[in-house]
Amino acid sequence: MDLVEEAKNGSAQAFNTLIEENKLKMYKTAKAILKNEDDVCDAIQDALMSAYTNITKLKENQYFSTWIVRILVNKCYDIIKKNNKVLNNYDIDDYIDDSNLKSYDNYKSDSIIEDTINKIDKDLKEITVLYYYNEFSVKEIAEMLDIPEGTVKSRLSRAREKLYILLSEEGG
Amino acid sequence: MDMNRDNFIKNKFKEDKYISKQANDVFKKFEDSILTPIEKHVSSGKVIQFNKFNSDINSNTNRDELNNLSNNNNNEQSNKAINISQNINNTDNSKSNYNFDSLFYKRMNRILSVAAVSLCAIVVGTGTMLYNRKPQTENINIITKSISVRNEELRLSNEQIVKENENNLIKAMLTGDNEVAIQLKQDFISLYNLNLPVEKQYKVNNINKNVKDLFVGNIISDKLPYVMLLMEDDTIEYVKIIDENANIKEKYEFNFYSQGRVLGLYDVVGFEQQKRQFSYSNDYYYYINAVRIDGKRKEIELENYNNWEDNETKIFDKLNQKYIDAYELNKSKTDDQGNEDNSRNNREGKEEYKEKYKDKKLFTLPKDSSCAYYIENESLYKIDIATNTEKCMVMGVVGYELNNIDGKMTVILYKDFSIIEYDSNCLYKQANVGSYTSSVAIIQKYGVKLELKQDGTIVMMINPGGLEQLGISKDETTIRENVMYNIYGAGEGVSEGKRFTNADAKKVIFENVGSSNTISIVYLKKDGTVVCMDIVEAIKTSNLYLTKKIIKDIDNIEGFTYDVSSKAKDGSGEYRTIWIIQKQSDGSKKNIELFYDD
Repeated sequence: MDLVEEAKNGSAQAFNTLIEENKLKMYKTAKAILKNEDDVCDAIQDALMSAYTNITKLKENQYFSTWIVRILVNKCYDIIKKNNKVLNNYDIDDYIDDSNLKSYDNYKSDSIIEDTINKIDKDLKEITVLYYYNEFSVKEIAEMLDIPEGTVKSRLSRAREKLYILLSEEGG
Repeated sequence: MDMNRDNFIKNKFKEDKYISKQANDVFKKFEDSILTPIEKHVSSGKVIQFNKFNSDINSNTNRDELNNLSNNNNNEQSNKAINISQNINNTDNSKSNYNFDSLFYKRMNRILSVAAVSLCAIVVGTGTMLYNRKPQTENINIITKSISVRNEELRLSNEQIVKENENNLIKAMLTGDNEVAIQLKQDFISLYNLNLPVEKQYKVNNINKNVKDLFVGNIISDKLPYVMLLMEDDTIEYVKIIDENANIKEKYEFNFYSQGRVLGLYDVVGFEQQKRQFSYSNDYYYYINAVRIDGKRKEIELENYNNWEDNETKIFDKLNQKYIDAYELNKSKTDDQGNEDNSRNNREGKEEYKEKYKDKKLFTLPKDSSCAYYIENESLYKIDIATNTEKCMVMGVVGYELNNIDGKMTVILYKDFSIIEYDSNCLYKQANVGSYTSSVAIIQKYGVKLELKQDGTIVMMINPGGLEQLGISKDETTIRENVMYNIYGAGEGVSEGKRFTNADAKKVIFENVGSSNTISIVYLKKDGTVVCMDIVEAIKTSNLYLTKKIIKDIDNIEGFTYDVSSKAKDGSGEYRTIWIIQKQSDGSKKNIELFYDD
């Protein structure tokens, strides 16, 4: 019996193993969509809760990874919506004063990849992570983000060019 | 072409395993919430099937129940369930766990409510299964970590004193040769999932004097054992078994040595284990009292100078080997001065405020009887006993601790807090600041107090008025005075480090750098890297992991000095700056001036 089946049958341990296998993907995905680390954590928490209580609804066991990332992406967008509501539809960036912006720009994380992703356009980030970290297909990404496949392809092409240059500059 | 680039990028991405500590904690807490301790130790790939229990306990019906509970905030069932889960948390939470995200915590309580019942049954199920020795159990793999203990093995043949802690985690032994050994017991090895033999006894090094007694207790959590050594001169030394902030990864090294004398405590005759509940959770904080010859108790604060807090002069009767009760002496003196009436007046005043606030859980400070405090809705309120009035002092309170040095109260804050009014009775500390290890250096300068802890953490607190002293307006920053903050590890140039890990420092200096007199925290990390932080800029940008310069290419750094530099580049004259002291191959020392590129 595979882990997903065991998790469906109620094994918390199996579920936890599945999460362990996917946690890097989950973190990177949330990080690409959300700017704030607290929001990232909230989204992950919500996704874990939701997945744990709804795993019996997963029909195709082999798609656990896709399924949980999809839940996570939805949770991320829920948080963005909530934030926008709170901020009265202003762009969040408007609320970052210059000093904070400066420190954010100057700040380098411990992850070169994370820094690199931060340098590319906002709309390319999530596609980049879904494609390169999660290794989802263009079709899966299109379904997940509810955008046409053509858009995914064109964004991916732009992201690819930029990432290749940036990562090559980092020292190959 | 695209394929090649995709592969190149994918390979690069695969190298990046970075997850922030904050996010890791989320996964960890989730794991803790859904797994029993037994499950945690069983190979994840080979899951125990609980057969009957499995279907009974974790059935889809239960999932639905979880859903129902999650969706229904007010029903009676969920309230009951929360109570159950809180009881479980009681036994399993350490002090470091009180920094829960409240939303998550509330929701998890609901989940745990059902899980609580399930887990109990799982434990019973496991016991039954092991008892019956069903064939399935033979295939259980225990995941263990490659842990080593640095200390030499010590075979004790002439044990004189053997002590164990209440929850059977470790054993400490004292021999006639005045050697102390520690044995990690099976429960400890299982708890931390270690790959260590149970029967080995490890010598405790670095003990300064003869030991006459031992005590094994817990501090902070019941999972963090400490060994207290009662020395021949009635002082205390202690051995830390495991750091509460330690992340036991593979290749973790235990090292048992005496951490030195606990300052301020003398005439100690014994110890006792105590615990108290946090005000806003069901967690318990564990501590050890030192017991003095006259029966006085004092909580041992490992990182602080301890004080028996004697208000009266104690006179020790050497003939009868006991203290004369100085309280009685003072009392008769007080009577002579006619102060009895005043004390009665005070008592009446106290009765009034107690009546008014009888529904609140009040607490007072030993050093300031003019006020009382209570916490409500995560806010700390101060009552002026004379006027029977109250005011809110701070919002976002996790809990508090009394028994601090100077009789002050430490108020533990959430990450988001708001100090409305400063109070000289309070010290504020953010919940995640690691401050329970001994300080190896304390620097008070420029209105800032810096402490370098034994575990490499650097903790900073701006003294009242310190922001002004640094030329920073309170409106410019979210960093507050009188609150303890962690200086986080350098973000730049650390390949495997984590953004929110501690500074991992072994030396620190807090002085000016360069001709522009940039006040800087400069520290030498354990890996030899020098990190320079412009503290004014860091505070202004509310960014305590901001680094201005990182130096990695200087070997054999011994430490720092603050000395006069050669003339400034613009010829404006001499100035004092921080220098790195480098040890040369011939044993001599060379000073290297530190300056910022801009």
